[in-house]
Amino acid sequence: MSETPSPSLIVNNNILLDVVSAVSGSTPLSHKSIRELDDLRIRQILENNGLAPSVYPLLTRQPAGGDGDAARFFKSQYENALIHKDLCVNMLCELKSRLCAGGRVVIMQGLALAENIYHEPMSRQMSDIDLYLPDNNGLQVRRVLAENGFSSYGSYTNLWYRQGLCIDLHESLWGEDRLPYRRYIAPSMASGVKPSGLVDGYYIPDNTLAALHAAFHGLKHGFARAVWMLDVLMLWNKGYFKGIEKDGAGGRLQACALGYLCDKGLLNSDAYPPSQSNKRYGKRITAARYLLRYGERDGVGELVLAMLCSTCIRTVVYFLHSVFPAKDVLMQMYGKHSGPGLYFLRIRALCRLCLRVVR
Amino acid sequence: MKSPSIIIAIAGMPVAFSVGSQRMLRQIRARYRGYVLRSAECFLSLECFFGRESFCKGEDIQVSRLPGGAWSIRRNNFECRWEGTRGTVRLYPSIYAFDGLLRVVLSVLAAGSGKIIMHAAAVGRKNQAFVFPGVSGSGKTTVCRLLKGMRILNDELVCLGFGKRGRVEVWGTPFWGELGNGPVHRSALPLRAVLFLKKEKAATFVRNIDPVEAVAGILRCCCVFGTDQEQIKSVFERASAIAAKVSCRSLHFQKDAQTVRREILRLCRI
Repeated sequence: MSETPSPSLIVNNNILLDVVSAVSGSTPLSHKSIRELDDLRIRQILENNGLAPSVYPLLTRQPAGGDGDAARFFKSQYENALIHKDLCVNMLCELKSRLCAGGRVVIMQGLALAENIYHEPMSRQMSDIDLYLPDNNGLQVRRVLAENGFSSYGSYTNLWYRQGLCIDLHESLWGEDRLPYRRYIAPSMASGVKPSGLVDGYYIPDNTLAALHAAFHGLKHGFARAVWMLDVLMLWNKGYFKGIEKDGAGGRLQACALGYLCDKGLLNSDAYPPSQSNKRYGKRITAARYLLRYGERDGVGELVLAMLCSTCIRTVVYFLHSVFPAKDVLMQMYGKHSGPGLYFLRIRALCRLCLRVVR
Repeated sequence: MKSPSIIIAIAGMPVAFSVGSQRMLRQIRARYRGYVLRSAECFLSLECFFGRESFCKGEDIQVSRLPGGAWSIRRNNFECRWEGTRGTVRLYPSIYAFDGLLRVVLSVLAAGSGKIIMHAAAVGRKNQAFVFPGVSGSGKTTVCRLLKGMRILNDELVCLGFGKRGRVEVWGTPFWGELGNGPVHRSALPLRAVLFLKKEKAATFVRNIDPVEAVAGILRCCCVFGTDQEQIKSVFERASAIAAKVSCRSLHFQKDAQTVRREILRLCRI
């Protein structure tokens, strides 16, 4: 029996994909989508998916698009995103001399992407500042943050807050500090960083690492928010995926993420022909794409990553240690969403996959 | 012969104007009564010339910083230019043209001296002030009317700056809205809270807001003319500093004096 998604889900999905496609510059925003922006529920969905700030520059290109209630809403979202970015940049500049004294501090995710691909008049919603510390300078950075009025999230000293701004510290690029078996899917070649132009004194990932990390981050969260699809699509359009070797873990991450965009109709076979995808791990990548398509929740990301391990034994080990990890690790990673619901979601997605294989 | 001067000090920023016309001088004295000083070290001295020509098309204000550091301000009824602390202004002989000029000059001077001019109402109580920022129609004058009896600093335009030990302070201005001319408040009051106004039909309550929203709300109500990067940066930094130091909330209010007053008194006690 095939499952038919409810009409509201289809509408939501369509408008999200339409906005992603329009923001990436592939197609203009359709008139139908523009009309739907008047719906408060649609605005909320776009906001939850991190796309609301990106809509305003699209609306200003429409005749009389800058007027009306919807335009006002998206304008305020756009302004808030720009202000948030500026506040983050100011805060990093203020802490520069102390934070960067003990080693390199690499800005990842939102702020790095803002520098790389989301130049004004574009704007990307960010929730926190992700800092990667490659030189074992975690202790020193934590001390500086504590001295400068930041407070940690309870005993968990990777998240730091001050006046509504949040810093998320990462001591490994692919999360091996939390889930050691992430090393099975960690690309071996990508560790390149370059000095940041936006925030002097800090570093950002080079093009290849930025692309790989965006693909990894999207897969890790099962592309639960549309903005992660947009990141990958924008990086693909910029040609940042070109330097990634096909056979390694990076190739599998790339093939799975871009394949998923093809499934969603955001990339067509001319842009990403099947010949470019990873043939050696084709079945694993197909399974991962299936999980993404029918999971589409934060929780299925680890299942997808398990599928992308290079051998069956590794997949099993990853399942045991990372897909169903210890409770404290789950709490750190998913906070209040780490209850039995997450296990249920993962088991259900696995059962669906098994059924699919049997058929 | 040098024209007689008048010094107008708003928000601690004295500006001297040499005005040749006795009639205009009388009007200015009457309009800014309470803000006129006999002598002060002025931020800026402007020599005024009056003419009935149109200085530029449309009502838009054009503010620009010229390469040498001079400022140029133009509107259909005035044209002003200054460098350092001295300059000249040509304007239509009307108190409204002078009022418009003074607002723009003050906003430029404020940004240069770490203050911001803001579209907001402000009320004082027990040596502390509450600021209600909002664009036209957001309910600034309504709230002032509801809080009758408290010390109304202004219902349209106030100045925010930093005093001793980094304390955020509020100054009233002579630029009133629908309330017309109100009492003169030349000294600053410490700012207790910034309350963004939201009209409600059924209830009055106060909500905490995200710091990013607070900065965005302050910036939306700031009077910034022109596109000078330095000026915009200064205003942004002041706005984020105010949002960081002062409690910023949203006041959802219905037109009921008792409930609004109760919420403000509750905030006074916190």
